[in-house]
Amino acid sequence: MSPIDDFVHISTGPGSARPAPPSVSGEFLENSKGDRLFTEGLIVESLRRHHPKHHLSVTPAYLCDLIAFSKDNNDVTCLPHTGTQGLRERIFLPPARRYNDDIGGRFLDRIVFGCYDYVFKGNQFLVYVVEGADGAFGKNVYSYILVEDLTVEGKAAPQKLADELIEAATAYGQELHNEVLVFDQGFWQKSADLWHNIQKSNWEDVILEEERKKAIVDDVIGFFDGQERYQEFGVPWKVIHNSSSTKDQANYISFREASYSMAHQE
Amino acid sequence: MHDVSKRISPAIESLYVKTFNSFSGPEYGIRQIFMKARQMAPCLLIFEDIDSLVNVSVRSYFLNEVDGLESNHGILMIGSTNHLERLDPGIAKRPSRFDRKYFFDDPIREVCNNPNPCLTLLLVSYWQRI
Repeated sequence: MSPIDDFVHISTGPGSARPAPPSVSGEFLENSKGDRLFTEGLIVESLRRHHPKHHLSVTPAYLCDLIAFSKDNNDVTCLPHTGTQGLRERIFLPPARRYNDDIGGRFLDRIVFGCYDYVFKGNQFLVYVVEGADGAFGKNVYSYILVEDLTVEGKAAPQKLADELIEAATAYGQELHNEVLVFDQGFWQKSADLWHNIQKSNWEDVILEEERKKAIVDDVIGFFDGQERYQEFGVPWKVIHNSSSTKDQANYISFREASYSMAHQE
Repeated sequence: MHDVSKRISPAIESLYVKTFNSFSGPEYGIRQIFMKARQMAPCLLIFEDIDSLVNVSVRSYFLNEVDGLESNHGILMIGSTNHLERLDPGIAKRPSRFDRKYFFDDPIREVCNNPNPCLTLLLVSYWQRI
């Protein structure tokens, strides 16, 4: 290179400028896709191209699991959309106990990519469920809900229809269905096993004087039955009154004596 | 838990706490526990071996959630312990936190000390039935 070469401004030099995308969203997509992992953006762009007459809502599946919602509700139908290839992983979960396990293991389908004809409350949806990498860490599953945009008078707006579905499926996921919530390692986890174990328990197997048993049961049932009385007396619905039977008082006294004697044994 | 699990409208759910630990420390865990309990109320909130859950470092945070400013309406908390002497008096003695105390003595000792043979009979007749 000779020292008398013309100065070339490389940043504005010819050929380096790329055509500006036609819109702000185009610019955003241009910046987001490609070298960066952003499946969500890619899928949205693709859906808009392939379903231009549909309204699209995207919702994270960990909050709103549409597939689980459809399996547990008879008034929801969810069938694989014909003509679309899905990608699902088949997993065999071995039995939790090696010995005397009467259930055996079970198979589980994990959806990586799926497209479904979905009907909820008589409304038609086209639902895509896609697991994608959005960033370097972990993978997220999103549900893409498409509603045909029939902006005809009398028809509910497509966003409203999608919102109804999202709301119902999210509420369903929050509720417990024959499960107990267990807090462990920083997360609330649903446990059906524990719930089923509890169903086997029976007060007849608890050896206590009848009165004492009854006092304990009455405390708990009375608490939940008493919501209106708590309101009536303006007492927070969390305090159990000490005004009940003398038997309880006796229990409490024996508790105090026990705690006293235990403290003095130390 | 079995009796209340059969109730409907409103259903009473059971929440069972194994540990306060979380990826962001025990205080974050306690916060998550009580936020969920308030969302799920009316519910049972069960702390097994509460003496080892509520240690000195999280006691203040725990008590704040139990009867601080936020409403805990409809939450019935149950704590169990085998070590009453290790339990903080703020939990064991103060009203409006744990209002009822049930003492379950060693059944054998209870039977021996009990002048009333009722419990012995109960035990014997129970084992006879099995």
